[in-house]
Formats: sequence, C-alpha cells, structure tokens
Amino acid sequence: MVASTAENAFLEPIRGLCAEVFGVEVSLVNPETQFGELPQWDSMGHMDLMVALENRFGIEINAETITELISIPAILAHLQKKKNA
Amino acid sequence: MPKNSLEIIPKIAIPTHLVSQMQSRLAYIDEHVSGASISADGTRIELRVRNSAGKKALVGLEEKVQLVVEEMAKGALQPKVEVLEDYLDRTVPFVSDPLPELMTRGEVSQEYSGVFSFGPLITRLIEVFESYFLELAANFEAELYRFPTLISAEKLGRVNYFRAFPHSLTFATHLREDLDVINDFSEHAAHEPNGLNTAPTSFSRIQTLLSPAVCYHLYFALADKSLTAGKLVATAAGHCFRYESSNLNSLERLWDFTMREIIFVGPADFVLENRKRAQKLLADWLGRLGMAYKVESANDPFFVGEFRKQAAFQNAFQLKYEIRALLPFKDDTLAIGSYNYHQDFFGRHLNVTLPNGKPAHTGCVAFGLERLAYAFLCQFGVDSAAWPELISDAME
Repeated sequence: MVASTAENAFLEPIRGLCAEVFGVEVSLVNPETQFGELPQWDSMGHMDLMVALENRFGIEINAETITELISIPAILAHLQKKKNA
Repeated sequence: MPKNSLEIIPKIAIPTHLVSQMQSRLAYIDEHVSGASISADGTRIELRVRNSAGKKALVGLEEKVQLVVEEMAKGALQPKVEVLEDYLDRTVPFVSDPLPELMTRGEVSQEYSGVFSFGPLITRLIEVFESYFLELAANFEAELYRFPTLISAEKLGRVNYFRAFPHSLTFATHLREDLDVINDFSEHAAHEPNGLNTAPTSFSRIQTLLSPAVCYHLYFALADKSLTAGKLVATAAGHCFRYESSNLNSLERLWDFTMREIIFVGPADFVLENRKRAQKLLADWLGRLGMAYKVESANDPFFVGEFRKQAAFQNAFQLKYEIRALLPFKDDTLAIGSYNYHQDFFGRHLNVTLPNGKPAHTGCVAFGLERLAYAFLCQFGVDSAAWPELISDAME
C-alpha cells in the first residue's frame, strides 16, 4: 500500500532536501510542488535535485528518473516503491 | 609524440560518447593550447601546444585537463540516442572537399580565423535556400521579424546564458567616452601580431554582445508580456557569433555565421506539434534535394561546469535534435540545423505568459545557412549543372 503524500515518511526529508538544493525556505516547498513552480526548480535546479537524491537516497539517475521525478508526489512515490521493493 | 605536444593520461577514462565534445572544450583551457586529441578508447589525451609557449606555460596544464575530464566525465550518463531519420546511405554525386576549389575561384575568402566572405555562387545558393525557408515559414503563417546583431548583456544574463555558454561569447565594446583615451587611440592604435596594441582599460564596460542566436531576441521582445493571442510563430534570419577557439575549422565551424529560424511560442502542445510538422516538411524537402543526412538527438555545447547536468537534462527530455548532413569526403557528418524545444524555460525566466497566466513554452527550427551551403556543395560539387533541378532551376 502506498502512503498518501501527506502521510509519507519521506515528505519532510524531501521538503528539507528541496529547500537546501534550491536555496529557499522549507515553507515554500509544499507536498504538491512540482518542476517549474519555484523559479529555482528549473532545468539546472532539477539536475541538482537529482544529484542530491542520488547522494542521499541512492536513487539511480537515468533518463527515466530525470523525466519522471518532476514533482514532490512523484519523488515520494518513487522512494516508497524503492523501500517496498 | 611531436615536440610541442603533451601526453596526458586522464584520471577517469573518457566515455566514447564524450570524446568529441571534450576534445572541443579542451581548446579553451589555455591560450597556449592549439588543439587536443583524445584516443578512441578515451584513455589518452594529446594536447598540442603553440610554439610560443615556454616551459612555464606548460605548468598547470595537466591539472586543467584533469579538471575538465572530472567535470565532464565523472558520473556522466550514457545518452539515449534517438534517431528520427537516417538517410545517410543516399547516393550523392560528389566525394571531394569543395573548399580548395571554392577558394581558388574566389567564392570563399578567409578574412580571419572563422570569418569568411562568400562570392556570387554561394550567395545565390543561400538565397535559394532562404526562399525555401520563407515558404516553409509561410506554412505556419509565421510573422516576419528583423533582429539586431547586438544583444543585451543584461537580458542574456537573465536567461543564464553566461553560466551555460561562457566560452563561446563574443563581446561588443567601444572606447570609453574620454577625450584622452580617444585621442591616444587615434594617434597610437596599431595592429600587432597578437592584436591591437590598446590597453584593455581604454574600453568601455560590456553592455552588449554579438548575438549567439536569433530566437533570443524574440523572447526578449516578449518579456514581461502576456501573449494575448495565446500563440505566435515568427521567422527571422540574422548573424550569430560563437567563438570556437582552435576548433574554428574550414567552413564547418564559423565564428560569424547566419542562422534562419522559425520560432514557436505558445502552449506546450502547440510548440511540439509545430516542431514535428516542420520536421516532416523539411524531411520532404531534403528528400527532394536528395541530400544524405540523419536527424538525431543532441545537446547544446554547454561549457564544462554545466555540461554534465544540462546535457543529461536535454537528452532525457529529448529537447534537441540535430539535422546532420553527410560530408562524403571525410565520411563524417555536420550539423546543419536543429529542432529545439525549450519547455517553459524562457517563459518563466522572462515572464512571457499565456492568457491563462501560465508561462509560455517555446521552440524553434534553426538552420545554419553557410553550413547548409557547404554540406550541399560537399555532396553535389561546385558545378551547378550537376545539382538537383530543384536548386539549379531556382538559381537561374
């Protein structure tokens, strides 16, 4: 069973990571934030986030993850799936 | 190993797909470097150094090379190469390099490295190509635009151009408004082997550059505006400038070249559908010409620090495809045009909005006109009687 975004144990760590990578307050990163919503989450910011996810959570960066992990819900679902695997 | 070469074993083996791109970036690491070659297996680099370089100049070169290798190759993703069209096996009638003949005839004259003038034959050929591109643009009801050769430094900074492509910028400047400086220049300025003998302090701060692309001007013109019609198609041609250091090579890489673009601005599906439609129309035209070419995914020439991430992003989202024409005399290909999609990058960075308030998406189809002419002449020769009728008839 996949936890809802709000209940996901990864939510706060991911919000914190996004804030760190994008250099913004955590409060600006909400559970539904997606690529392009924050000026800092552009193509460069996105790739910085991918590298940070790789380093912190061991996510493999490839063409699929780059194009799929473009929102907080998508990142959380990916981490949850990886944890359950 | 030649006397003026330096052999370097990279700390990280260079992946095959990066060999050519890294080779071209190594030209920029030091003014004493005149070129670089990387072995096909990526385990050895030969750096060619100018005769004028003393031993002192060589200190630190290896460190710079290793830095470039690490930045570009460490953790580099294997790109997903998507080939949309492949007509490289089309038989073309010419197999030599036409450049020597063109220079003998006075059709091509080199003014400086990467700076060429063209005579009546090539000028007319480019005009014929241009008339086709205008017809193509009319299919999209494109509005005609004219853009300046200079481009605003402030606006280029706003779209992160300096971060992505610092190496290829060409700056525009002028003498400072200062009577002493202007008089001194007037009396003493002379060209010496390494350039004008004028002190850098005589020149103004940089406010403008020479344009590296055509479509940026349209995005700048639309900045901080809402696209009331919800979409826009424009076409323009202009001179573009990309400094290529020692990579400036024959007619394949010019510092100053002309680009024709058809530019799409609107919602994502509008831009993507039109990019695809343009690709179909161009495939038909290139087929009627009988040109040997392929269309495959590509990335822009980002500089070292930005390369790995930006190229991976472009590749993952399949944002750029290049039209690569066959150069039969060297069994290689040359990018003569590209199909580009920028997502909402310019819309967000320049605040170009759609009627629903969302940032506009942008894309363009671009052709390097001199490169197209050169690739055409490489495949069909300099004798217009042997050219495809579609072109020879139009030349009359």
